[in-house]
Amino acid sequence: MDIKTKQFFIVILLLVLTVFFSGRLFYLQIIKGKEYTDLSVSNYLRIIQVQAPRGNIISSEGTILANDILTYVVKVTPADIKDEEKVIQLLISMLGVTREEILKAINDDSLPYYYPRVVSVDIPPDKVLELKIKEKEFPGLTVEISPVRKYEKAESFAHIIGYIHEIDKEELFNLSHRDYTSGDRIGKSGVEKYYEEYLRGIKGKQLYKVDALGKDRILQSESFPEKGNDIVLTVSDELQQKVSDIIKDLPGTAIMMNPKNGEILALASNPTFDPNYFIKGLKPAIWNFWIKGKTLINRAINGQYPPGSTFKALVGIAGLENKVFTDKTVVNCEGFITVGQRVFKCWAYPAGHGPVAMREAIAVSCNVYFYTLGAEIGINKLVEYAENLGFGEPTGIDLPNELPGLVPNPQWKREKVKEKWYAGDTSNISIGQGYLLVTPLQMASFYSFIANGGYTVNPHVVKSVRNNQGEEIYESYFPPLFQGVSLKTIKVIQEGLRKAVTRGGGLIPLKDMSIEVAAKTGTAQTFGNEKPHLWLIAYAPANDPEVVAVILSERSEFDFAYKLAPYMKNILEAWIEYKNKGN
Amino acid sequence: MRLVIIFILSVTLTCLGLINLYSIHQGYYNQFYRQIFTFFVGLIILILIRFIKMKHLIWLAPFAYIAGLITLILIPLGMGKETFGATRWLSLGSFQFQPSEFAKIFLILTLASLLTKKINPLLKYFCSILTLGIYGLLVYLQPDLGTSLVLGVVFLSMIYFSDLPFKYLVVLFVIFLLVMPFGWFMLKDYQKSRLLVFVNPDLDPGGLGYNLKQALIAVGSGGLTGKGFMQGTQAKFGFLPVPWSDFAFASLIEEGGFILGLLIILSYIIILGLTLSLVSRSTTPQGVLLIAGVLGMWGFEALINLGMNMGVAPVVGIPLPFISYGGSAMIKNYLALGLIAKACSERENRGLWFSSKM
Repeated sequence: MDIKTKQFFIVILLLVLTVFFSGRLFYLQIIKGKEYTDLSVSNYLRIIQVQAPRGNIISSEGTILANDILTYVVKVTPADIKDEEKVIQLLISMLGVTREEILKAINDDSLPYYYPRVVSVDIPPDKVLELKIKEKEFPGLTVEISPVRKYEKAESFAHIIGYIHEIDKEELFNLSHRDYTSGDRIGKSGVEKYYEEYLRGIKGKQLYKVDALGKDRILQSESFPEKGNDIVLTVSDELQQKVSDIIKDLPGTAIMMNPKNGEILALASNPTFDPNYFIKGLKPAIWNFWIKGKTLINRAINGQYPPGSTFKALVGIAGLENKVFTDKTVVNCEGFITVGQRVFKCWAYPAGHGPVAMREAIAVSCNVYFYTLGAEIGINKLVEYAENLGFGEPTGIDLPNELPGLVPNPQWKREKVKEKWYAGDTSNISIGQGYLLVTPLQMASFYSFIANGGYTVNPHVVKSVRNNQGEEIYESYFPPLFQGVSLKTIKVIQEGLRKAVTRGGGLIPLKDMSIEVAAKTGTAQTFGNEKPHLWLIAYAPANDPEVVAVILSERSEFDFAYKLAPYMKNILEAWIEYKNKGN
Repeated sequence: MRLVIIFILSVTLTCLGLINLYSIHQGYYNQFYRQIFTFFVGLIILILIRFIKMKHLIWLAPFAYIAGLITLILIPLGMGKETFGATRWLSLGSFQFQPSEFAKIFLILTLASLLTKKINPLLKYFCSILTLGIYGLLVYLQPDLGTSLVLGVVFLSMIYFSDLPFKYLVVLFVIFLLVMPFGWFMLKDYQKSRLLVFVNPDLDPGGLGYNLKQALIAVGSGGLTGKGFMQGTQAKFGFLPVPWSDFAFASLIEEGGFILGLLIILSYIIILGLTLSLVSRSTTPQGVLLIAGVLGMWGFEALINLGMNMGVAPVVGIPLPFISYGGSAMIKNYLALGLIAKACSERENRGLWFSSKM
């Protein structure tokens, strides 16, 4: 083999290598270039988010009900930890956190490994110093200042304000595009949840360029966290506390509302809870106790009850508007009435109320009158009126998870109960029983409609939202909506409701007040003949109402609804006192 | 003319190496200035070598071989300086150099001398294997698998272009294949893992596989036009290991992109192609072998280094000729360039031609 041949083979080899290397380079840089560019960026750029303080929640008087205070928190950064066991032992011995909690934070794989994770909040000052010294000795452990939520007058306002807690996996999945990351705080109920977008603020971001060892961090750019907006409630601190106090031995709810604009002045649900527990860490025992007692349920919007006799006002309106009855039409109450094969008793059975017309029938809450009226109106018209006046659907209050109640009709019964509609079903609806369900807030809303002369109002708890410069960026305004019910009809109902107080029955405590009060009681029978739910709804002053108040006593200790009258009196007196201060 | 092109390309590649050093050290120029210094030393050696006659060079070969042997033996005798777990450096006062780099040149010279001697081909064959074996083993024990492989390829290349019968080459190849499996057991654990990681980079993402991955990220993220001068994040922030030496190519084309990468690859192919063509231009058998040795050395170094930068060859620590940082390597490369020039010089060749008939 001569030298030329030998060279020729090497030339072939060189050509093959040229093609191979060029091709490989093309593949890496051109075809996979984008992929590798992303990898190189994620190598050296790290974004660390700084929690923004949440906005304050303020009562209508201006008292702060929820705010963020700065406290010390302990964080661990997995990327920096040298000796995991040592760090865990230190945290357990100094802060009393459990190994599981620390491991859960360290192993949270929804965060980048260089991301600091909170293991304990609200560190007492004496330990802050001790831990600060240990930061050097235990790499990966840091003590930082971080905002922590604090609720004032917590138990009284819990059901309105709600609470915040660490974001869960499902929320994270749904909200990932809205700049939430694991470990963030998020509103879980109440105003905290409904106004989350206003309250949360804008997180600060620190963009670091990092070298391979993660030690040499160059702060590339930094945006500072921006505090969230402040929320001003329509709820009065003074009234809310008084109302909470008044019903504290009365499981159920009490609502106080301005019938002219729908502003909620007080909304208490009993039993209640202390949302600060969610911040400090909730012990399973307390959680289980709350779940068992349905403590976290806001009964004003999430409780559904038969309205009982309080519903008769609606039946009256439907009857008068349809001209089935006039306000003079008299029904003779003999203590009972036979509908189909069944005997329906009046509550005054066996005596009976004798001949009653509309105003009297409402005042004495005569069942026979309304059985008769309901049957004349017919179920379809009744349902139509109930639905037009807001039953069977949420009122639209600015609180999350409001329930719609239930207005049954023949079609509904066929589908759900698999039975045909009997005349007796209509009778039951006529006195607010049967399948009918309402929320206490719906009743407050409906009685506002009566009180203000025929306009529906949107109940709401937030008056305005203020940004950090103190400018109002949102102000609630819901124009009252006329429903086409004639004022003449409303007046008849109003007179009946006023008469219920003045006639001198059980509601006598409300008669002796400095303002004229109109009211309606209701006793809602429960399935299985448990203790009944008792209603008392009142508004005042009777000629130009400025407040509507609802009390619902759940599975009440009392046997008659009028026994709630002293509670109502206290609530209305609290309002008068509040009013006299110039509010 | 061909020599001039090789020279220009070598200087261009050296300058690219300097640019790379400047870029990755941003404000810390120690390596940059040292490299400029050794570059000039290399140029001076290139000029000086013109004044040495070829026959003197060949005559010097055995002494050079012994000198190289001494320096290589001094390392395990405790005069070496340990870096990265291997002892490859020899310190003479404040002056440090890498004997294994010069060993490549000494081996080329010695083999060029030995393979053109008029003795029994089989004996010649044995002697040359022994010559390689002593160097190769000493370098391998440093441990420096890469350089001992380079020595091996230099040997193969020179045998290939020598007048030894082709059958010996086949025998050698068969022996090589038989020894291979034993060679695997001779490898140190870290060398084995390097080869294994090359097959599967995910095997050890924190260690060697990590290096390989980061090199690929550096190369790949360069894209068509690169990130720009001094903008290479992989090298700057330390994700790319040894961006001045083993991964200099990755570092350069992270900033220069596909275009620069292609130019570098073509430069090497042109250098190698021209060197290859010069093999037949030399009129002396020694000259042929000298050029063949240099061709094998540069060719294998470039092949493995570019390959490991692009993830198609195992990471064995072979520097890229001219571009990688390193004084000894720089001087060695210009020395090699000088040898090629010497081998092609007509004036020199005449005297040698008569002393040893082919």
